[in-house]
Amino acid sequence: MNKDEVKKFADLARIEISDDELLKMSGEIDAVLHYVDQIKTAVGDFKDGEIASGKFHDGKTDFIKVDNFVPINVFREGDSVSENKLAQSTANDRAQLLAEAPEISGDYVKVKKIL
Amino acid sequence: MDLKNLTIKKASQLLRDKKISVRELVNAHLNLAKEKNPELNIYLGFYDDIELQIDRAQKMIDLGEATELTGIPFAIKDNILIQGKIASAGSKILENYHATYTATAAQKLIDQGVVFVGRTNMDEFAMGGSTENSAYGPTKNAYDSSRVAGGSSGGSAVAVATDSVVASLGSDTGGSIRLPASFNGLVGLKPTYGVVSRYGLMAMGSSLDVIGPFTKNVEDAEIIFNAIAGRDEKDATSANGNSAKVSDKNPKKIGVPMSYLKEGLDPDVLENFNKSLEKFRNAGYEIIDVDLPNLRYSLAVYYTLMPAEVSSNMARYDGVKFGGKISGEKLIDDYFKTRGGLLGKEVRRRIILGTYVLSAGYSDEYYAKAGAVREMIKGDFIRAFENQDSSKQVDVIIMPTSPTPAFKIGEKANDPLTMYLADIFTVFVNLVGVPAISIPDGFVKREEKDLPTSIQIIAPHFCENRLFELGKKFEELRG
Repeated sequence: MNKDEVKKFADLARIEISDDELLKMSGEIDAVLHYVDQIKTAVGDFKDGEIASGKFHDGKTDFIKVDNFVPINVFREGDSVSENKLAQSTANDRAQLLAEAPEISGDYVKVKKIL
Repeated sequence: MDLKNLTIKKASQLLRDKKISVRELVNAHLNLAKEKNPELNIYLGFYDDIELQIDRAQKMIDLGEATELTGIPFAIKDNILIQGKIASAGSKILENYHATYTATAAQKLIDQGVVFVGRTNMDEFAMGGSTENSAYGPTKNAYDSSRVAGGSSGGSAVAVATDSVVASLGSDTGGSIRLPASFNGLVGLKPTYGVVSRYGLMAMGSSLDVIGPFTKNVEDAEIIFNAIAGRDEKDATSANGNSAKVSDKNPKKIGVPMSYLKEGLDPDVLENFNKSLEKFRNAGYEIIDVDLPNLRYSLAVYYTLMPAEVSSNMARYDGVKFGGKISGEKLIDDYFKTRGGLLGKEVRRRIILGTYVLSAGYSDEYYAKAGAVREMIKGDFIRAFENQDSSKQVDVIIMPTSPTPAFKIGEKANDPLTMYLADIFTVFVNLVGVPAISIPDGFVKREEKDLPTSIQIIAPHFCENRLFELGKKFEELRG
């Protein structure tokens, strides 16, 4: 990853970064990516919702369904009793939560004008 | 009071027999903590309600309501929340953050009357393997203060190793309990993913994180595990009851991935490991060479998936909702300045790396493929534990916890990749989600100092009992 790319991804991540650090980080991230690159050849490419692993110990090519590893969201049961219980425990903490915000105005978290 | 050999079991007996009071027990430890802290940088803060906690615990004992944990002095990693107390995660951005709720694991211990004396130093947001990434300076090793404590839960390890508490809590995303346990001669337990609630643990890699204990022996680790484990509706990834697929039998067959131990392993560490194997063999255990061919990809997978999860989890630190803020001209400048100025170097590096592997055009090549290889690594373990061919099936797998003893402070600080390689025997355990325990197996000599080394025992999902069973047996064999 060159200096400009590091800058691009730092911008996407909303991180201010000095020119000196950009240069240093570009070398460090490059070394990590170079190491990580071995996963690209550990498996084949995606095709029809499957990926060929091809590297199982018995030499056989195996196919892994994409569903097996694409992260899925875990949802809580939408039952009102447990929701109320959870809601109640946080509502009591309103003042505490506001006290932890860097800037507030009344009962609101304060941010700079964007329009 | 002999603090060195004082386990939870022993201390609890003394308390219940009224041989000592909770106050005496806590103060003996606390004095040591305050004496050692300036040199070793173990604690980021001591709590101001220790007296209240002591009174509460003593009352439980006096009323006959005590458990084995009542009155036991504990330390807690600075990324686990206790309501009203500062939890900084070793970061500048949370320097003055007061937790607004209590972690389930901490609450379960509080309910049993443990006394939390303070919060321990750690790599910032648990990102690191040496505790050198703390915004508050490194924690030093209990056996040689020129060496690292290991990380990321370095403070929690050294707290127990210096006898400033009897036990502590840490968190393990890629080895952050087991590595510092090994570097400081302690038992460290990484439970099965989902068995200990993550509610109130600051998220780093949400598919990898788990809370676990540091103790002086296996029996104590078991006591704490039993106290903190269990389903929690506040953690959506909490496991449902006992989901073990294989029976929790007494382990007899020990797998060792011989081919994985050939490279990068310190010869003295290997020698200690081989001696440990010999002890098992002499005691009648069967040692079987297991084939885990995809383990070699585990660090590459980990350093793809973990930064991806980090980059998502760290988005909450924006200078708006909680924590520190550096103000700029416009709102967008607030974000850039706050995150650039108050997050440390390693945290920023991982966020940027994670943003890259998740970005359009790269996510199929990196994130998705890493997910596939993670499944292959899981497959290796399932084949070893559930093999129909009984000559290949094993009950547990063991290997060293760390390829080397504790290294020098600063030795790897400027080379992140070399630092990452210290996790070579620990990260796949988190990728697979199985439980593992690190147990001291001897010492190696470096510059006239004895540095501890450890074996790591790994069991199938939800089979912590195998770790305790075999771990206690190993302690007997080791002597």
